[in-house]
Amino acid sequence: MFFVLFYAFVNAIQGQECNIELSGTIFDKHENNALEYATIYLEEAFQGGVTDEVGNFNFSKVCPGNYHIIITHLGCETQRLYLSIKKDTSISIFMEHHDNVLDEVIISTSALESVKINAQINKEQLRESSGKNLAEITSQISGVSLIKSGGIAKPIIDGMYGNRISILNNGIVQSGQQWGLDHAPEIDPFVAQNIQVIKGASSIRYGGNNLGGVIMMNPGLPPQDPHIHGSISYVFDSNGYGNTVSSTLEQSNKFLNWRVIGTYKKRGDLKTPDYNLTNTGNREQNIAFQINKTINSALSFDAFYSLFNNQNALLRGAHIGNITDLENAFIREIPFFTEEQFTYNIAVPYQNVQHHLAKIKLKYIVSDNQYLNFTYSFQLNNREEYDVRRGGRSEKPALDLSIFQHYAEIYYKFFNNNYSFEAGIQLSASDNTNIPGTGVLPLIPNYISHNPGAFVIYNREFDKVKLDLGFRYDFKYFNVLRAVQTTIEKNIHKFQNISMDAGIEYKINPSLVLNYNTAFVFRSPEINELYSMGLHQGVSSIEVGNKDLDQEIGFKNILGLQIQAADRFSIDVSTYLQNIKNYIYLAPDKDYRLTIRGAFPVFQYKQTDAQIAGIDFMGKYQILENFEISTKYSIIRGKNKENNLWLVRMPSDNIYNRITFEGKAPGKFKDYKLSFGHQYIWKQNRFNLEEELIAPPKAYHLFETAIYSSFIWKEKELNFGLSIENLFNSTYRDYLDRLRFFSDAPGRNMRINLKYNF
Amino acid sequence: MKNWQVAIILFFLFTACLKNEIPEIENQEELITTLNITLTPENSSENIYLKFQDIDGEGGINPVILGETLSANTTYICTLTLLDESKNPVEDIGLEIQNESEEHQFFVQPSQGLSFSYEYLDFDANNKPLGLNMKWKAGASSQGSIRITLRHEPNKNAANVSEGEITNAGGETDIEVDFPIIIQ
Repeated sequence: MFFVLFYAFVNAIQGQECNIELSGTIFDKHENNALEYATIYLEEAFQGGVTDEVGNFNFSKVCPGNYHIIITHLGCETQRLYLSIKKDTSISIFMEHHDNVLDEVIISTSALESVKINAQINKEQLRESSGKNLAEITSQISGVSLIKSGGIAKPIIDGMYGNRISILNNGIVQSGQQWGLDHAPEIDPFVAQNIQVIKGASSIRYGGNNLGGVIMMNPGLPPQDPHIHGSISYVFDSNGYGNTVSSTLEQSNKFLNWRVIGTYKKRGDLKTPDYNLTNTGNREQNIAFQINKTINSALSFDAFYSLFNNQNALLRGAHIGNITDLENAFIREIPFFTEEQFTYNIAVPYQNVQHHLAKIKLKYIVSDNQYLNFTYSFQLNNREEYDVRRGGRSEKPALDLSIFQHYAEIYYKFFNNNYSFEAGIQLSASDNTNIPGTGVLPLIPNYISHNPGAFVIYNREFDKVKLDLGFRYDFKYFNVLRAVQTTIEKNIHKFQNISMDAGIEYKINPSLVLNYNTAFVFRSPEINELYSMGLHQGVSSIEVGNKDLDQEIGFKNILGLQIQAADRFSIDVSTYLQNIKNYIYLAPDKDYRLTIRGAFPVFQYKQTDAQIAGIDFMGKYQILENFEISTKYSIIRGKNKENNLWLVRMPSDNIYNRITFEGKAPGKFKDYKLSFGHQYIWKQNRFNLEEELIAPPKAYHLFETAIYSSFIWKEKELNFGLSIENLFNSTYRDYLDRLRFFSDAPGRNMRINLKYNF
Repeated sequence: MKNWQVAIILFFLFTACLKNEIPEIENQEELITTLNITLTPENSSENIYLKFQDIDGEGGINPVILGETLSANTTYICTLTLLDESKNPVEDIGLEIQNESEEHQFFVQPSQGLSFSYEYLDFDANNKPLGLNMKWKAGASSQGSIRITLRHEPNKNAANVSEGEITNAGGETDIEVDFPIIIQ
């Protein structure tokens, strides 16, 4: 959330060879006070220090030369500064909230922070989680769970997923086929420097359809350093023998600041404790380029391009033809088509997904306290799904979808010491096409959509109170063309959506903060809800869209409490209650549909009134300086108010506990961190069998352990980690994993992480 | 300000290019609309026909299922015909199945109490049964149904699968039809 901005004032005094004094002070810019316990490290000199209680530091025996200086402070990302030291030098370093300066993705203003209904994964946590996918990383945040289809995972925030949340890839709402349960977000987490979940008024900026929240993948900016730096990361996973290599190169030169990130991943079949999960391999080839340039004091420019390329095999035994097959698969101990032999091969069924995102942004600083952004982005998403088919047709995709999306935004922000105002106009247009030639009736029709929208956000800060207000309007237009038997049917849909959000934060005293947020959000139905038609292979049921669907109207209240005592003890509790009028869901029909493949259960999209409530708790206690315990606990309840039945796919109650030791290691090793984690997932007892088809699985425990450290190798830092997931190789099935019908979840995985920074 | 005016114009130019293309009507290549079963009694009396027909595929018009009455203690030569009658000319899916005989197998499951047995008359290159041609034996007078299942990519080497036992077969079901049957 923070970024270190440094203004170096170099005061030259006289100095001698290797006897130069480098001193300075570190300040928090907006609070204007000195920062205690900030660490400073002169990389080339292997000298480090910590600021005293007035923010001062001092190195007395520095040789003349050029130095990379690394500054870290609690809650801030590690940042690098490059300095040429020839004489005794004194510098002042200001740490500032970074969003205002260059990066638009962060929600808070420079002078003020929004009401804090958000949480984040920082750079260190990202490094420790490398090898995991975006959804798995995000699920470390309290209140976020996973909905899976084996190795394919999507995030759920407070019971909302797919169409009801937004995922931002560098400030741009990801435009993929997010409606599908087995469609994972097309984002490479190695590009991220920070991942956030926001639920407050500030999320209003990112589209009106967020009933759950927004996940932001923020790539950050290249550091202010004239040399080419970078890192190479390698991750090995023992389960599936996965190898992942990712490399970053970055530089800030006179012409521009740039960064390039490339990732390659190859994993074979996963394994449960007892058998191989045949055909569950995965490949990923991603690349991202990022440049930014300050043209003059008023104008800066940045550009971003990323390509995500992914092939995901789907468990062969989960490919079934009808409900009899589903029941047979469920009864079986070991899935059909299970092979003894491990393989990296990807065979049918599998998916092949590509996602391009290109973005350019111009920032124009009007004056010290106001600026304008113009952003344009282009996205292209191609999704091909290959199935087991007759007559050599497995070579052709059974589903072949493409989305082109253009997006433009004009954004204005004004801020001063106690209030800020933001406004924006956004236009997006997309073209969704089924590429012909699949030989299968398409699940969703072709359509184009236009979505102009506008928003205003106002933040105000009083002595102990912060206030946020947001308002948004969206117009959504769909032009749908679909083939019905042998004719083409055209349908136009128009929706007007309004979102309103108000938040208040009250700082009762420095260690006790109370916040409350209320939001009123319209969500218009998406294409799958309006038009999906046909057999959903994986669950052997027929899904029927409903073109008469109306908007959902969500009314959500969040009440949060944060307690922070003596830097050693913290509690963060958030409770929420959301009422959704016209909640869109798949309702089971009474009758089965008879086909030549047998009788199938039919589910139709219908609307009801729903209520979802939950509590997310997070607590940390630092028992000793180097020993910490933490707990994360979430419960959620969702009800269909019309028939008083439980809603499907609500995460069951879950708790995660962790103990962490930090210790000093000998020699060139830096401090190590050793942790043990335990997760318990309760059985979901609140379900409606008619909608589930098969009752939820048992509760389970999972244990994990990890050790992370780093050492200096040839004057460079090498980070390494060893972690073991599912430590005791437990056999379990998860309620929110679609593969639970077919197989156990993967067994133990030992992961090795290496990262070499240069 | 000028920059953005240009940008806005550009944007509209981009979006104006979006036009909703009329979708091609996808040719449902793997559709099976019809299963015809011809039963020729060995005692050379008249043929008996069983039929499942869902002319427009899944949804739309309801399928038609025609069962029959078999003569007690009679053996029939049974021939299965699979068609896609939504196409013009009608496609013979049976040929496709025949060509991929190693990847397909039909199974016949009489309901409890029906006095009935069967055997395969056609086999794939590995000498494993296929089932487009079978011998059906109607026993004593009884009543019930016969389920015909076509599995794609079954494991024909699994226990009892080549004897016609479906339990361990696996694969995907391409056809699963129940015909009401009376034996008298």
